[in-house]
This record gives sequence, structure tokens and C-alpha cells, in this order.
Amino acid sequence: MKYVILLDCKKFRWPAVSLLVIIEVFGKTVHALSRFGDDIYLEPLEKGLALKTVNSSRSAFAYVLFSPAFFIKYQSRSPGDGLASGDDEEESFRCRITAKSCLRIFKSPTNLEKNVDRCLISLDAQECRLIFQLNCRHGITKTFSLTYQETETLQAVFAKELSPNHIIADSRALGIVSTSFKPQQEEVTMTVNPTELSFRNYVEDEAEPGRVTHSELKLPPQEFSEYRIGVDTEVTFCLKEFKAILSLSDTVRLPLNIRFETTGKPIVFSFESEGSLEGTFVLATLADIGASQSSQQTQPSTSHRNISGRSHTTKPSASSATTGRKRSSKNADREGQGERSRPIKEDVEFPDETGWHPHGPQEKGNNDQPPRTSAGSPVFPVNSFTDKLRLPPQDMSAPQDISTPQGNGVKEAVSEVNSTFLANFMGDADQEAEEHRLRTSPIRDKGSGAESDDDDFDFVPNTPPSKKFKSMFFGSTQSQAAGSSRDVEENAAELSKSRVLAVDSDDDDD
Amino acid sequence: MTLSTQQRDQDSQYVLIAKLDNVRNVSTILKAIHSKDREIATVFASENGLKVTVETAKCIQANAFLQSEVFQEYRLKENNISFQINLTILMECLNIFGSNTAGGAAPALKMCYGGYGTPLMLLLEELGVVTDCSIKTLEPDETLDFNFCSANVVNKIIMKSECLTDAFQELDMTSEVLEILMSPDKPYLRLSTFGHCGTTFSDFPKESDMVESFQCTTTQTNRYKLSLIKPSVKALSVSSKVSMRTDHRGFLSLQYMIRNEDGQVCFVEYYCAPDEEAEDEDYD
Repeated sequence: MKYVILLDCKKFRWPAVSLLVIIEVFGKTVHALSRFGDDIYLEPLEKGLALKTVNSSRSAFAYVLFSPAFFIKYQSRSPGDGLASGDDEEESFRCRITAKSCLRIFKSPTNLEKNVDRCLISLDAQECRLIFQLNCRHGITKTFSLTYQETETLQAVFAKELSPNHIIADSRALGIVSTSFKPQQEEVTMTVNPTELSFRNYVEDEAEPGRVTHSELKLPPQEFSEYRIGVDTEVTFCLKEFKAILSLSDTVRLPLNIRFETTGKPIVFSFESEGSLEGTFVLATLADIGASQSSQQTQPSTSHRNISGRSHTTKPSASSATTGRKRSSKNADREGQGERSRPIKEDVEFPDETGWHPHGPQEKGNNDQPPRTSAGSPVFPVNSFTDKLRLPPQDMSAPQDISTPQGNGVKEAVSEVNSTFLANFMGDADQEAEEHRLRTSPIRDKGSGAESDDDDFDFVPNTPPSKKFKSMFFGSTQSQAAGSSRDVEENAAELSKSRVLAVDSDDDDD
Repeated sequence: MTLSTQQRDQDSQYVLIAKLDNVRNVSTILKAIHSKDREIATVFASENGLKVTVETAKCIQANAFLQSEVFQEYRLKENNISFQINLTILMECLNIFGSNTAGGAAPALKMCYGGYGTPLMLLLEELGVVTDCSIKTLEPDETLDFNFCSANVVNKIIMKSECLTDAFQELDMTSEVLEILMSPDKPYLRLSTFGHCGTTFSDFPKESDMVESFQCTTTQTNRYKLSLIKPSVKALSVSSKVSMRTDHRGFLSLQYMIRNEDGQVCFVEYYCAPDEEAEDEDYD
């Protein structure tokens, strides 16, 4: 037996909060993590037992750390371990087990509380089994000997300290969000300004605006113990994972810290009980790709018309001057709601007038982020998207500062536009060479990301093109119809390379 | 011509008449042996009472005993009557007035059988409403005789059903077999499954207050097909006590003590042949 962790299930006086039952908390954590991803990564560290998970599209990451004080006995390494093989002392055991098998063990946390007296988690290295032994009442013992897979550590790269927006909420205040939307609702948009916080259900393709239900929930800042908004913004993230986070923070009865910046940047939820438990959840937020795309696709005048039209039909409560911020208005952020990426549009629109319709996505560096999966969960840009814009290969795993100035993005986008322009005038052969050059850098980056599945958390660009992409293409003007479908195909093909530079089809049109 | 004389005349044609004030006393017991892959049951009527047998795959046999004392009236003309019947249909008819186990007016039952080739007649009455069912009977097949006699019993454990119910309900269904270990030494009683994600053991020590009697002479480990033995959890959930016995061949006998609404005790029994991949089972 190597690592030994003993969980006591007797009622335990939680510091600062009322009575809580340990194993119930552990069980509920397992439940919450299983709502994120299919596998739970276990890592016994010096500072505690870490449970992590990431969802299949790598757009949500959950991490809960149970410090040794949480357990009766916590031994994260066996005596005499670590130095024998000359390994780095920090080398610790990491494994991953399926969430399903974990759920079987902690099936009903409330029942567990009643029936289980003690839980022992240990590792049998010889047999390669992770053993959960539950001592239940009446002397009955249940032992679950699970197979596991050794894995690399799972890390999400994000910088939560630098977020301009910070909210601290009681789970009660946000609890109402869980019940306010339809169960099938996939994403929710949270809009913040210094005077109010609102949650809206996120509606994707507003083909029939009249038929879609829109729900909005507004909360006054007084509901929160801290409400600091540096940048008025709106962020869209997956509701299912958000509900899991809320239910877990409710179980542990700790206030939830929410740190975020703006659209496209990850939103970080965390709670902490000094010395016992700490949880961090990072959700990717939907990058507002659609807005800029449609503006490029259509003529400026029509685009405005469409947008305004749409705003009216879908947002009856568009009383405030927040039209610019509305999701439906694809050009929302254009109105300068602190979306630093927007300036790019100016440059991007130029090709429109020349009769050449760019594949909108290319100009926006955001395309380098893996598009949303068909499940609709937003993509988690591990590194700032400006990285992707850089043509020369970048080290993808280098942690990026979220506050990298967007100015770079602008320059890069322009150069991209130029290159595609250039492509227009180049012969096929040259064009291919050019494209290949432009393509190689991202490939290398993406390749590294794709292979190291268990490596430092990188996004995997092998996700299918997002619905948003497709709808954006097909929803564009008629003149583009033929081109669009081809574009999409090309996009689909090249998405793995992520830099969508497919210009070929348009050459035929010119 | 009173109704009663009329009835007496009619009744004379039946070889079996059983009357029961509370049909639930019968339906609960039969539910314990019923499962969707065991539809045909063999009914034996003798002077002791009714025995209903269901078999699966020639390795599991479930028997429900309804002794004559359970019935308010039990009249048998011939000895050793047997027939086969579709248990699903029988259960549906018995529960025709709803299967809610809540108290209150319970339907009364009158069961009549006219002999070989005739259908089984059920008359159910609740608050003046009468339902009349006639279910075709089938040719009775030979039932297995597991030849399980108490003399050969090696290990015997009697315990309260509730703890076993949880264990059975949580059994990992991805496992093909359920392994039961009974031993005079630790771990005394262990239920193991070997599923996709790993192995699960449930240990029941003999000192546990759930165990009423523990008589084990030798350590025995036997495996039984999980999919076949899992339905026995139904019997577990309605019973108060269960007795587990294994004989020298590894055959398992599970006996469930079920107390009905009138306080009478009925028994349901499961016989399970061990899962031996190498050799064939040998029934006498």
C-alpha cells in the first residue's frame, strides 16, 4: 500500500461554517466533477488531495483541493519514497479514474452520511488499483478496487488575479439561476455593469426570433458581498457546469468568488476555506466571433439594418442603451463596449467593398481557438488568443498574461488580411506556397496541443467546426451562398490547422 | 335458489378452490419470484398449500410457498394438481384493482381450478366491484430438483434482509458473476463483483448485528451468474430475514421470510447453481 488517505465521516465542525459531514462533501464533489467531465484526475500532493477534471471539449476545468486537515489521516507518499529512483522529490503520483466508477462508490451522498462511518482511500501499486474502502454501519465493509490510468498532471492556464471584474456571491444569491432556466438550456449569458448583474439564456441561431423563449434574470449588486466591475461586459458560458459549481459551493457553504474579464476570456469561479478545502472552476466563455463575421459578410448598410431589426424582435426589453451589448446584435461590441478586439473590424471591412468576401474567421484571430463543439460548449482559450494571431510559431504551453494588449492582435489581423489579399492576386502555385507558409506555424502549435492529451492543458483543435461558424456562413447574403458552402467545407478541412486561410474558392468568383 | 347454493353447485366442479380476503397476501409473495424473463410458472397444489415455481436458464429456481393457512378457505379435491401458467398475466389480474400497497380496502380473491385442461378462474372483489378473470393453463413441465438437502449444508448464515438489499442493489451489473465467499474466518461473508472499472467487495462480519446466525464449517467460494441472481433482490426487499445456505457442491439456497399484512409468515426460496465453466451441472 502506498498512499493512504482516511476520510472521517462523523460530523465535523467546519471552521467558520456550521456542521458539515465530510464524506457527504467528498461525495458531492465527485458528483459535481462528474458533471464536468468523464474522468476524474486524482493527485495526492503534499498540500492535499487534488481532484481535477476537464470536459471533453476542454472548455471547462474543475479543481478541488482537500487539504490534509480535511482527513483524519493523510499520507501522500509512502515512507522512503521519492528519492529512491533519483527522481525529482516533487514527483507525485497522479492517476485518473472514470467518473462513473467514482459515482458508483459515492452514489448517494446523503445515504453515505447515514451509513458510512469511515472511508479509506489507498493505492495498491502492485496490483495497480485504487482502493476505496467504506466502513459502513453494522460492521459492513465495502471495498471498491478501481483500475486507474497513470497520467500527467492536468493544469489549466489562467491568471485569475488580474481580472478587472470580481464578484463574491453567496450560493443562495446565485442559487436562483439554477432554477430559472429550462433544463435543456445549454449556455447562459451574464451581463455586468456597475449597477446590475443579469443572466440571460443564450440563444444561438435566431432563425425565428419570435419562437424562441428569452429569459432574463437581474440581480442587484446588493445581493453580493463584493461587486467590483472594472469592465462592463457580458460573458457566455455553459450552464450545466455553472449549476454544478453552484450546487457544490452550496454544499460546502462557502462564498463563491467570480473573476472574469470579458467575452472570450475564461471566467474563474472559486471558493476557499482556509486550510481545509479549496475549489477552482474555469469555464471558457464564448468568444463573440459571430458578431464580427456577419459584419464582414454583409454590406455595412444592410448589416446595420439586420442588426437593428433583430434587436427589436428579440429584445423587447431593449430599453437601456445596451443594444450594443445584446447577443442578437452581431455587431454588439462594435459600439465600443470595451471590446478591444473590435478595432480589427475596421480593417476587415475594407475587403468587402472591393467585392472580395473574406472568410471572416480568418481575420479574427479567435478562429484559432477551437470552435465550439456541436454540444455547444464554449471553447476554452488556454492562452490568450493573440498568441494564435502571431504567424511565427509560438510556444503554446507558455502561460499567457490575459492582459496582453490587443493592439498586437490588430496588427496581426491586418497582416493576415493583407496576406489573403495578396493571395487573391497571386497565382495558384504561389498562393499555395503562401498558404502553406501561413499554415505551418499553426499546425506545429496545434499538433503539440493535440498530441499531448494528458500534457499541460492545451486546447485540442480537433473539434468540429462550430455551429456558429456554419450558421454564420449560411446566414450571409445570397451573393455569397455558393462561396459560403465551399468556405465551410474548406474551413472544416482546415480547422485542424485552425488558421482558416481558404481563399481558393473565392478566386474562382473573381 | 340462493346465491350461496348456486355457488356451491358451481364450486363442485372445481378441484381447487382457494379464498383469500386480501389478495395482496398472495400478490406480494408472487412478485418476489416474478421477473420479466421468467414468465411461465408452474403451480403445484397439494393439501399443504400452493407452491409456485419459476425457473431460469436451468440454473436458478425460485419457489413461492403459500401454505393453506394463508387462505380463508382452501378446498382441494384431488391431490397433486399441477399446471403451468403465465405469471405475468396472473400478476396483472391479481393487481387489477391497482397494486398500491397502501392500507385500506384490499380486494378479496377467489381462485378456482377445474382440473386438467381447464383455465384458472380468478374472482376479485373490491367494495362491491367484481372482476372475473380466466387464464389459460399450460401443460406442466418437469421442474428441476436441485436435490438440496439440509444434510449436505456446509455453510449457513441467517441475516436481516435490509443490509443485503443495499448490497444487492448496488451490485456492479457490468460484472458477469457474483462471487460469494462464506467462511468461518475473516471475511466471513463476502460478495464480490468484477466489473469494467474494477472489483467491488462487500464484507459482512459475523459479529454484525445484522447477522442473526452464523454457522460456517468450511471456506467456500462460489460464483453465480449475476444477471440471473440479481432478480432475487425483489424477494430481499419484501422480506424481513434471509437465510443463505450452500451445500458441498456449491449450490446456493436463499430462503426469504416474508411477513404478510395479516402477520402470517410465508417463504420464498431461490436455488442457484454455481457458475462452473469447466464442468456441467449435474442434477439428480
